[in-house]
Amino acid sequence: MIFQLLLLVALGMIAIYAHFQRKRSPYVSALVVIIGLLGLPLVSDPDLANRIAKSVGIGRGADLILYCFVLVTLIAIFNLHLRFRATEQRLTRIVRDAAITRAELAHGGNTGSPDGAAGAGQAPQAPADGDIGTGDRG
Amino acid sequence: MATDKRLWVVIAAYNEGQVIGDVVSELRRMFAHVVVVDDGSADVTGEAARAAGAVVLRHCLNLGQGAALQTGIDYALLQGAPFVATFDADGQHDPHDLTVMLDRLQDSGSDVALGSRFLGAAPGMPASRRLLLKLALLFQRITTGLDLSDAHNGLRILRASAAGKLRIDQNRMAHASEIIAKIAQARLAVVEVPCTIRYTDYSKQKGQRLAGSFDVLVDLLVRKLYR
Repeated sequence: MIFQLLLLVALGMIAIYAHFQRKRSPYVSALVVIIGLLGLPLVSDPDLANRIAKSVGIGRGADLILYCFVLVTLIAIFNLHLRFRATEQRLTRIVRDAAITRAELAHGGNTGSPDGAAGAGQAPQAPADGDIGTGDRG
Repeated sequence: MATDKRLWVVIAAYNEGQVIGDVVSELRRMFAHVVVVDDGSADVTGEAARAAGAVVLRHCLNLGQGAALQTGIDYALLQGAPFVATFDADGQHDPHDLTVMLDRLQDSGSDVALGSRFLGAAPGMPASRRLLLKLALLFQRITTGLDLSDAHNGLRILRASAAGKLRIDQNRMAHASEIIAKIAQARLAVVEVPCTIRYTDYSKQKGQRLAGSFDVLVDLLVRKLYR
């Protein structure tokens, strides 16, 4: 009875929290709210899961819950994986941008080529057209 | 000897401080524009490349060779490069091959020139690497439909128009097969040009992870999983 109460409170709080986070990620939030709410009757009436399981051809309620749990976990992992990839791509963009910006600031579009002005001033956004020549090669 | 200004040579380097200076100096004798992308190295890679005459772009975090090449290509295109080459940092490529490749690219009117060690020479290439590369080629042929004689060769020249079409999204090693796949997708005209690979002790222990180890096959599989 005590455990039931704890679970009910926890599920309710998770659902409420997810509801308030819906602006950040509407689909994930909706999914968590639904799971939380569906969990409430299952916890308060322990035999409910058994009856549902029987009606859909699964022997025990615990099995039904396990299958659902696996399914939801897989969806969550996939979602996290996609997010990770997206974050990585954003990180790449930031690092690349910083590298290019710094090079353009430092070189002003000139590659430091000592063989004359032909190569200079090609950079469209070069802030400084300075001649930062590295060229002391033979 | 006059340096060639048409070609921008892009090198992705991660902890190659030992050799990058020599590689850049050798290139700079022939080409005016050498861009080294220091991919968050912990050693003196950036300083050595700069001292040898390269423009150095630095990733503040290590992102991987694919990401570094894309950064260098983006930079070269921003500077108005008509041709962009990719070149390995470990000294396994011969700068003279680039000249031949550029000529062949222009003569043939192709979009992309790819170096091939099987049309050229690969002194000292271990037999196990040869076998693995052949397997990678077979896989490449099946998945992209491109009939090439080499896989995972870092020596390439792209016309600016072609370079603009290829966006490398695979930050890590899988970019090599990604480039081939995207060349096939974009239906770019490819010319293969023989090139020499110098299998030095240094490149064998370091650079050759990419060009002939078991990783090649893993990369190809990873790419299939991700995309």
